[in-house]
Amino acid sequence: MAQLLVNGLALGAAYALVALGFVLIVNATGAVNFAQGDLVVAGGFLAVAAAPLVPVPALVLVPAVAALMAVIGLVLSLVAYLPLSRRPPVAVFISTIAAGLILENGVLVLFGPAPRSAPPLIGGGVVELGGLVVARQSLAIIGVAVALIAGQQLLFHRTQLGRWLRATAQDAEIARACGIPVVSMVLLTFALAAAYAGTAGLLLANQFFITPSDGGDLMLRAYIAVTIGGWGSVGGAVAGAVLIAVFETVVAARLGHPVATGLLYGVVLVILAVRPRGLFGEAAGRRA
Amino acid sequence: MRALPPLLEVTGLAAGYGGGPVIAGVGFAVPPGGVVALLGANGAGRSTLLRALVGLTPVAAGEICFAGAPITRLGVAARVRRGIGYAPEGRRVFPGMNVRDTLLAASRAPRAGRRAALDRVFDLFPQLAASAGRRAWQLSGGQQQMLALGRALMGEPRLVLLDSPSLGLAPPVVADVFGAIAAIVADGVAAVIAEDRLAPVDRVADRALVLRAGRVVADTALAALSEDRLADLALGAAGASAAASTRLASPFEPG
Repeated sequence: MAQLLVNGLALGAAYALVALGFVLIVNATGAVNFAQGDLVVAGGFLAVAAAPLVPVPALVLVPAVAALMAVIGLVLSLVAYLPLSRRPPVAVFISTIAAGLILENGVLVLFGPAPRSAPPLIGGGVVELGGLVVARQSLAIIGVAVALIAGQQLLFHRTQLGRWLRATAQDAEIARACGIPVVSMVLLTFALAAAYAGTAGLLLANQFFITPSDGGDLMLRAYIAVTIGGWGSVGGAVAGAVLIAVFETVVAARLGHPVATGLLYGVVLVILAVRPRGLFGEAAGRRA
Repeated sequence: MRALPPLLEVTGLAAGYGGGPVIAGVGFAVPPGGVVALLGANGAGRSTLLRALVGLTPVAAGEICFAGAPITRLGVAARVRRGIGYAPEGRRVFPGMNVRDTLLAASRAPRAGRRAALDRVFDLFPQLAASAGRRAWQLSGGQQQMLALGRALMGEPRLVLLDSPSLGLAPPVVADVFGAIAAIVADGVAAVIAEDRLAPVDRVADRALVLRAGRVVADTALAALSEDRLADLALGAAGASAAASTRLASPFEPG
């Protein structure tokens, strides 16, 4: 059971990065980025492509994949968000769905439909922690995700740039009236979200096989995590992602993946009915 | 003795949203350190005028000059950099951010300048200093209004545009807020203060601009106005007689 929990936490750590990127964009723009799952897949395949060219542990690839994905995030915001930012939200929904499909099919053309995997983050093997045998890969995934989430928290809460990003997320119009460069903050948010999604893709591709069509499922996981955690809450999204992953891993080990997936959506429906603001119940207006 | 050139000069201003201008033909001036009360009934165009001055509402016609230079075509950030601060109607604090971060976010100065500006705002609003770590949504209405005023001051403006600072506040709190505004203008900061009544602004303003249906119907010394005269101007003669028994507007109604 403890081993399953660690595996679930590793999966949850990667999901948390996806959900974090998702919620950052929701907060900064009010728009749902339906390409978030495809950004994860793109990051995973970037790691797959880089592996034979740069034969190093995938951990070394994390900064490069994150940087390339940040550029893709910038392009996504310039193409699919900014031109439509004054239109009704549905226009951005559709444009990000289109961008996601372009990404998915681009990956399909470049890599084909077969499942692929990225190189290990660090060397393989296991370590023993208090009588518990844990895969080093799982620990590495958790470590990378925790470091990135801590970095996001430091950036947002300890720097002037972070204050500007948060002010933009809270009230973009008044942020403008404070002299904050709101458009730059939105672009930066897309870049950060894509970097986090791409890194999550690297982590997932290292632990599991990925295919070009995985984006929809991953997007749905992020959406559920944010819904469970409380719409707009950064901490809630991370916690929601970890809960989903642990639930899936533990239930799938006992009852199989189809049952785990079905039960997951069933539980989400119950949560929505009982606690429509999510488990952590923070009103969107009070989000940090 | 020559009069000082105006800090803000507005001529023939028309502004509004998709459905046509909300204000039209608006002209007035604010001298350096001057305080103008922008008065009028609900829907007269006070908020639209302030939003147009800071750049949040598109200008359809006319000219805005600030410190001798045209700013009509400048974006919001550029106007703020030139020295215009804005406290919106309804306060619109950043609810999830604490007081200290809210104020620091509104400064574009380097670290030392930010800290100095923060200290000045905390000196002006000791209540904010005492609540520096509290999130804005946890503050009372009066504290939120002070936070909105402090936020407008963090850019070290030469002119502040204050939209309905008494809105929704109890009279003692209004007195506190306007006491702080008096201290701000005593430091030489010019102000345009939108209100729907004379009472809150009469201790700080020297001139009054009265709007009715988006047009200026009076630009006068504040001392020449009374609440009844304001009602006549803001509502027109027919409207004023209808409102005579109920006063112009309740201080607890939106402006």
